[in-house]
Amino acid sequence: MITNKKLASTKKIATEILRYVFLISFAYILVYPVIYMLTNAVRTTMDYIDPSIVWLPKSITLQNFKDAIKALQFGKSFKNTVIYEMVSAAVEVFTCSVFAYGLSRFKFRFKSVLMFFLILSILIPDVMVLLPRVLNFRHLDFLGILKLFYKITGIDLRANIYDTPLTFYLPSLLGVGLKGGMFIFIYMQFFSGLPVELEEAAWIDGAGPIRTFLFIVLPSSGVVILTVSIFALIWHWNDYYLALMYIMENQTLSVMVHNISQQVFLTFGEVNGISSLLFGVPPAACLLLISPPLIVYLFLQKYFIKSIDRVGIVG
Amino acid sequence: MKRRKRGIESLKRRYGIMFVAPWVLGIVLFVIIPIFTTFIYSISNVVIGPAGPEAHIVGFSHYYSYLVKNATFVDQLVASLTSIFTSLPIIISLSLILALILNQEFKGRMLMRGIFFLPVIISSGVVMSVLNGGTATDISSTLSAGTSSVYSQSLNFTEILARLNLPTEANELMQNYLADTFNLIWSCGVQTLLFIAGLQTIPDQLYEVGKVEGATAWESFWFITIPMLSRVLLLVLFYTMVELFVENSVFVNKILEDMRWHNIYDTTSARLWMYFAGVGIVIGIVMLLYKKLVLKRVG
Repeated sequence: MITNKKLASTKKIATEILRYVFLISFAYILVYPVIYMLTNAVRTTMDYIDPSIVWLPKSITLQNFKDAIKALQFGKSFKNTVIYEMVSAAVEVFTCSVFAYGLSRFKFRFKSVLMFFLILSILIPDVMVLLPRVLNFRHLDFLGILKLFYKITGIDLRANIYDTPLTFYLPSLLGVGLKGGMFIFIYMQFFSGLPVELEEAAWIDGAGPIRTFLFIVLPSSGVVILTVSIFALIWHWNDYYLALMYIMENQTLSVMVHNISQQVFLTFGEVNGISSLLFGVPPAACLLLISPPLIVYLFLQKYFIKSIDRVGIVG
Repeated sequence: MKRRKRGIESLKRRYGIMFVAPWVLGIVLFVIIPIFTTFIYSISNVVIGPAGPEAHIVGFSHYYSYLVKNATFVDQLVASLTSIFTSLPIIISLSLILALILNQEFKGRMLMRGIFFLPVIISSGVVMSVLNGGTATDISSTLSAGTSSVYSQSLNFTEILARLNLPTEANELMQNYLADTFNLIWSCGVQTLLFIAGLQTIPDQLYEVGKVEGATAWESFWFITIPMLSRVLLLVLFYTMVELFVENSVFVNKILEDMRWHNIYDTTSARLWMYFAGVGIVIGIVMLLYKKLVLKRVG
């Protein structure tokens, strides 16, 4: 006869087993491409032909990585990613916090209109506005004033900032860079949960709003700043659309990796038959792209997951 | 006294405006004006002159020629828009299940969370598109990660399906569905994360009360967890839809390609507007379903 207690413990073990089966099978699907990249990136050309090799290659070579670095012009494109994307990510982390503070702490007219525009800027995909932005960058102008000036006098004062880092910095400075609306939203959720008393005390002690923000609010928002920074850095690192549209010559790493087969062709010429240039270099290039954020993530993982638990993004 | 208070209030108002003024400028310059510009382009013929593009308004002829004269456009548009009705439920339910499990206490939780947040880190479509057969050079064919060759090669589900002796159509459908599912698991990262953050905010007392009142786990899931997650769910729905419509859309990639490499501005803008009008309608339908299915439970 099965007692109630026994039944309960069997049930518990069954759920335990089910949970692990479910998790491990899903984890396999997620880890699989990473292993696939690794095992393919270290093979020699001969190993691709050998049918006895499925996962473990017979000999390990780093040649594919060397070729990938050459084809990607790794040093140059890494530098471009830092100059264009990482700097604008850092700018965005700061500016969005300022705007979010203004939106969540102060009452003023038309605030509901601004909230509407915030939601709009989250919902409207970047592609919808990319083209006019690019055209505007070629002839930088505000409300067509300089264009009118050009038409009347024939003097063109409109600067061309297309293909310069300014195309990334300017929107980021104004809080409408890559996923800027999302970051403002996350900050707002956090700030509205922050106790107001501390700031009021600072006010009474004679600190202005800017000083209050810089020395009282920002230091106590470490958790949310960490969350936003990680998202901003990762999303900028992986950004493809903005880099493709805004940059002509000095492409970033993610665009180069995306065009890896073209780059291999440009660097090594036509590749015929089975070659590690076709089978080993693309996964090696992918690994080069994901390894910097992955390394950072491995170090920050604990803090990141904790901050997700605490920041209450969704309030 | 009263006067002084009003002074502080107006001062605060001014400070608030000071804080958000640059952002308002950004919204006007980089969001509102561009949206109107694309609309103007979509109803004009755009010629690129020395002073930048010149738009000559011709009315809605671009829209007309795509919607009425072009045979494949409408089909493609509808197919691309309705695909969300299969992928959205999969993503939402998968990430909710994952979040529920990862939120429990068990051995190796940290490791599992680390693995399941991997897609957040590698969230670029770039890696998946290169792995899924990056030999093609144009954007539209590589970014459309429709059939995943990486998984189908190794997991051999094509062979298993072939042995089941299904009718050819069913076999094909299953293949596509499975391939999609594997890709969709990859796009569950941020959603899982948001759901976990939402689950953290539900107070334990609610579940305790449920237990005392004799609710089963199933009941407490439907009457405590889901209603408490309704706001997160809304955020997840919006995020997923934007992601699916933009990041994985062959449609959008084709438009971008025409803009970037062929400098076509007018018809591409018209296509963008039609696409996003469709997107708006789909979002409306999803919101309606959300209201009917979820908000009813919240009461």
